[in-house]
Amino acid sequence: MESSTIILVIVGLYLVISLLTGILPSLRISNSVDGFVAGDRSMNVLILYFVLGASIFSSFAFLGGPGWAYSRGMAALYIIAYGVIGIVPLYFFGPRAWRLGKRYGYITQAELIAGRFDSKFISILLAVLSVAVFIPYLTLQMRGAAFVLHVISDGMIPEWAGAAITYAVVLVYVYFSGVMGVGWSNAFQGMFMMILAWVLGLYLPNALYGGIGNMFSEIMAAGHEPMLTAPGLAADGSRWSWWEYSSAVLVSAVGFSVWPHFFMRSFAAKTPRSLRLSIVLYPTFLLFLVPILLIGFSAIILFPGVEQADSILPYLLMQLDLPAVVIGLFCAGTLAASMSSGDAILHSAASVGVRDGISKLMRTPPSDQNERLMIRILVLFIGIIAYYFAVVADISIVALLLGSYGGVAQIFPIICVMFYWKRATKWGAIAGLLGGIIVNTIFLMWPELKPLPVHEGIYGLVINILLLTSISLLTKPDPNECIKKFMDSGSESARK
Amino acid sequence: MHITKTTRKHGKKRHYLVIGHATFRLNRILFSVVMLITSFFLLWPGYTFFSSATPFIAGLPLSFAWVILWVIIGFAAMLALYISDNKDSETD
Repeated sequence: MESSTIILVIVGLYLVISLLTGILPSLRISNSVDGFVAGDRSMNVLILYFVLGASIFSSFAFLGGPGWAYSRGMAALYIIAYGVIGIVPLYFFGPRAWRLGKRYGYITQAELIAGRFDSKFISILLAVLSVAVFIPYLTLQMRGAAFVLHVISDGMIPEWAGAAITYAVVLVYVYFSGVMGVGWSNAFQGMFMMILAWVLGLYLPNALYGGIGNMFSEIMAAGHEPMLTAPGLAADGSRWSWWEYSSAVLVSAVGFSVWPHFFMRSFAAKTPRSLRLSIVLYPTFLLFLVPILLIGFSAIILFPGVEQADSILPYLLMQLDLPAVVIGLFCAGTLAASMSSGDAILHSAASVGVRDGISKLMRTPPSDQNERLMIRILVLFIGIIAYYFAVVADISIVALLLGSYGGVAQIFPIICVMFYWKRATKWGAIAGLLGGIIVNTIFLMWPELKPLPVHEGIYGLVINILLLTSISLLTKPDPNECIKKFMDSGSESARK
Repeated sequence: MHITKTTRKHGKKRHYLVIGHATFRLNRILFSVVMLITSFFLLWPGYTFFSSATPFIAGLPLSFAWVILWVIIGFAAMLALYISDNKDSETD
């Protein structure tokens, strides 16, 4: 068999299995919004573990991770560093959110926040923020999948077709199975890419240099010591400053647990205990970035001067004359990374868009069946918009996405006070959130205004916290019953 | 004032740290301390002392091995918290 045929067969098989694992759960969930968005609160540890892991490891991890290691050295470690710090808040927020969701029927993050502050405005603001962040995020996932298929197939699969085929599969299983489709397909995709990453990450340094130690010695000997010294290099090849590294880790860690598509999986857990266990196990998923980065390092000496750092992994595989099976598996692995994030984002964007945005704007709230139908229609609609940006429109969206991390981090202080500070008020929350997002956006667009070279999200957070506390103290306390149910959500007895 | 006391709730043991009028669960305090140390060593200034490429540890540059070490410590701390939470709380 010709090597291109082998590759296509493997990719095809992978897509069929993804489709099947994604569609089958639709037989088991109820025909309700609760079933579609929160899987009837029935996810076990295994599924949750892969959902939490795979939602975050996107095509950025598979393409951007090695790209960073290749061009910026140890700077790439920031992805690992923020993960281990950033997951911790969810251990405390998650079970609280779960109990409140179980009792009051919440299934999205914005609904939870709006429940505490009794504000439709916050709900709509968060829905707009989420959808605005999710569309570029989804677009990047599509572009990643399309790019890899195009390169590996030697141009045989054009980018429009690559994105269309992979995301048609995603659309179908998200449309039919909702979050459980995301869950089961992510379990398959997550396992697949984890195994692949470890095999490839250990194989390449061994095959090319005779071991990981040898590889790093050679990189040192070639005069790349600055790359191997933390915190690595900046994008322009100069040394990355500790300010920038530390603030990037900090902002990403703060934002990590409150990404709407990540946070809302708390509602899907079967019990608070299973949610906690899957959060505790998360760092084991994080370690899978280690072999991924090793792949990037392995290209530094052998293939210097590749302009587009993000393409280093497919580039490397094409140069090395590897067996077609390996290339096919790798190709499917990258698709798995792209799809396992893309499906979670697509599902959350539509759920949040309808539940917290459109439904709130309607004069009479829609029935459960209608709401579910609206979410499904929005799934298709958002899929098509993202496809348009990925394939047709020629605009750069990477900057938009990078900016979104600082924006999402602004949700964190509100989640914190919601559970732990009685005196926080609706107006404090609105002022903090708006102020934080505005300041973050200003420094993102005009970085020369920054007094110190730290991430714009930090400035946003400072203003956010100042406004949140001062306005809260200046305004009348919120109604006691709202506060009480949130403050008491820390223990099981609150359910009685 | 720091006093550690043990109470029995639903027949299970719980350890508390009492500072003035405030009471904290001991396992949560210990966990927070470990995570603060983790953050200190993964960011400026803690990481700067271990940021060099050499010596190599198990084939990896020190800067790389250092981050992996703290991921493992963070994981162990979370696991310990989870186990102790299950032991001493009602059902969550």
